[in-house]
Amino acid sequence: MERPFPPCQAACPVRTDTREYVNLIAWGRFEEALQVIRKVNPFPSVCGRICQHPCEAKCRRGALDAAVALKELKRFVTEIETAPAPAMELVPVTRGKIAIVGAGPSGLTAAQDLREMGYGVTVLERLAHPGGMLNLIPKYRLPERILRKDVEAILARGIELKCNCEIGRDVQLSDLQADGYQAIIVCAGLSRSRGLALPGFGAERFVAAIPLMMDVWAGNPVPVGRKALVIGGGNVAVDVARTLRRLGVEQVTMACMESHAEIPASEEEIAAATEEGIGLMPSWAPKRVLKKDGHVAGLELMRVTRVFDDKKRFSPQYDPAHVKAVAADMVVLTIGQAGDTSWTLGSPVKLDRRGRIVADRELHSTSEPRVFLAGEVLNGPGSAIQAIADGRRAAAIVDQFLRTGIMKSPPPEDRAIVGEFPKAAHDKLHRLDRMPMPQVPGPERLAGFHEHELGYDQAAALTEAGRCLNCGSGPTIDEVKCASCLACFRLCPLDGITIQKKMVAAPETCQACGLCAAECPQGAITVGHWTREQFREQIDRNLDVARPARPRAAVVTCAHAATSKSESDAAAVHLRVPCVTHLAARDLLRLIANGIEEIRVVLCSPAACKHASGQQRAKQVLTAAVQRARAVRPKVTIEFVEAGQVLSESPSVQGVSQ
Amino acid sequence: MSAPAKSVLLIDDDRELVTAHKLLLEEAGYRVSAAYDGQSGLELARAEKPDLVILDIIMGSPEAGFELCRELRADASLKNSRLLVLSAVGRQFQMAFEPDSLWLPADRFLEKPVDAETLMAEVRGMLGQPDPRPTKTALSQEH
Repeated sequence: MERPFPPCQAACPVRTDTREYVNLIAWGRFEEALQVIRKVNPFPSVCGRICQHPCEAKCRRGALDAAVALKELKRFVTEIETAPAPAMELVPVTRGKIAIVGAGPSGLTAAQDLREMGYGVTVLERLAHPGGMLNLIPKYRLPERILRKDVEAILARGIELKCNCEIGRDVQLSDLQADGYQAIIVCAGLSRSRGLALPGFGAERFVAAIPLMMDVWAGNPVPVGRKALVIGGGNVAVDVARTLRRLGVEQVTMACMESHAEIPASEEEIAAATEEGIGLMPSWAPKRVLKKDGHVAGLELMRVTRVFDDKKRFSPQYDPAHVKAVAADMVVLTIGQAGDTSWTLGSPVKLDRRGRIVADRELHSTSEPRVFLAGEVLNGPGSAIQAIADGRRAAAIVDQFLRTGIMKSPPPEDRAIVGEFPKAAHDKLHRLDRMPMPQVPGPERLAGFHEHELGYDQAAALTEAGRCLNCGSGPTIDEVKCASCLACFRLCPLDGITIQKKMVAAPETCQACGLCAAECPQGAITVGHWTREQFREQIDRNLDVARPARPRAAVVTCAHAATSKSESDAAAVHLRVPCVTHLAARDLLRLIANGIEEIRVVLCSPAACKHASGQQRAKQVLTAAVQRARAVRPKVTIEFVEAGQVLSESPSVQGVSQ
Repeated sequence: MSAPAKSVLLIDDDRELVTAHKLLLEEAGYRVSAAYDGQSGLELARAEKPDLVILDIIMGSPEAGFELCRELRADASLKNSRLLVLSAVGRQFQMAFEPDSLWLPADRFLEKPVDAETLMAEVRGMLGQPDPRPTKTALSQEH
């Protein structure tokens, strides 16, 4: 039976194995962590900056204290300096050629997937540079070098990119069909801001968000005034407002129809905007552009009494008697985006009565065979990670169609999801503060477009990664070996184990501390990637290496502690465990049997250890084992070292059954 | 006795385009009249009460075009006239428009340029006439 998804992974549109990369970070295995992310996401650096992180919203740690900072950890691991990647061996082109229209996240993801499958892939981009709507994101949130890094890694796989090539203008759909492309995937995004035909339309500096932000991104001169009104309450509106502040606009206000509680922008974006002095006017809708000499002089607004009806449908109501005028010399519309369908003109690709491309959302197909859609042009507005997921999906469908002639959706990755923490387990879990993201203070940010989130350093990343609760990665039981002896049942610090015919660990309770696996007398339990056999090999190997020096001491270090502190003893046998909870009494006996008399265990401070209750039990078990060993080896000692301090040698062994 | 031909009023300052559309519509059996500025268009609409008005927005200022759209819609005598906005205003101002009840109270909005087939399908659809083109079956069946 497949393991249940941790909620974070289930929430990610590309099903990033979040738990895995976070744990690899916690153990200091950064390169491997990055590979886990790359496996499903060709934009790891971009997502480390701007992902809307639906994973965090579902993180079970959020119910205890605060969600693990998954986006920040992703960013950290993409920034670790590693040796230059060896030149990639290109996958030979063994299949037909495919054209992809649009070099945004969905287009480039589909391009990478199809190229890796052996197709020849050409990407057509209307702008002078790739990235699509990611180019709309201000550089203080997504620096250009970060975007380029991911894009260049994708293109380096042997994908042809043609910039300044717009479908419908520079090349027609029929040209691509005549050129022998076996499939054409249009990922053109939503490249137009929605307009509003207000009285006063056409005044100077009454502008749309997208052309404004494109100009800012490209470094083109952008005329701004001193007071600006941004119409809209989404994340793009916040981007525009914060951008205007950086362009020198002294007073920026966001006016939106939604009430304060309904504002669509994320809380963190609104908080950042507020820190930068941006005003909010919820529940106001534009009524008229006020003009003076052809220029915007202000905006008349009317009070919104309701945006959505009882069934959550958009159905605004206004109070016509409640009107106010706000002075401004610039108004920016950010009330949504729409696709440009002009490329369909004269082509067999049909539009519906509302001017949208007729398409099958499941199959990504249009009314024209071999012409597909992906990303926002198919699904409407969405996040970058949703676009990436959609690009992957389209690539899978197109590949299957070209190989078999069958149009079929990829099977859904439906698995059970680890449930909520039982209330009883809550009190036994340590509360650990989320590591704050270092930030440039609000006023200082406005000096330019430099990134204001500074990223975790290694110590912060290791600490934050250590907060992950390992949801759903609990024990695997060898039912043949399991003797239902109750050892695991008695040891589990969270009381998450029941013995039915065999041992059963409740996935919603288990934190995969490994204590049960370490102390199972039958060796019937495996937790995560850690196996007893591997550790025994580590012990034997390291004893062999150290044997010429006749070592008397062994240092066993918890991986979480090892990466932030060093415990070095040249004459000792050094061993490493993911957590002291994985160290078994019989491991110590193996060391003692090989002449080791001094055992030092380096562990994290209980205040920082997510397995704190398990750590305490492990210390009791190990101390008891050493005390028993003294019957034959009286000189044997054990000490537990945390944060450089030597702990009491003999913690209480009460309640531990061996 | 066959039903009288449906009437269409074209309001656009692009005379060449009006001529082309007039030919197209007349060939399809519609009675077509035309005006080349907003004021004449409004007067002609009130006089003729056409079944369909096809209205450009940028005839001078776009603001005036949008205002004309609202005036046509607000005129009770034109309550039976359908209103199709056919304009390049979105392209010119880099915005996307859709009809809305407050500011752009048209029945449909099409962006220029449109091809003859799309325009005629739209006109037929708005006047409740069947589309002679073959009906699409489930898209997935075509592949």
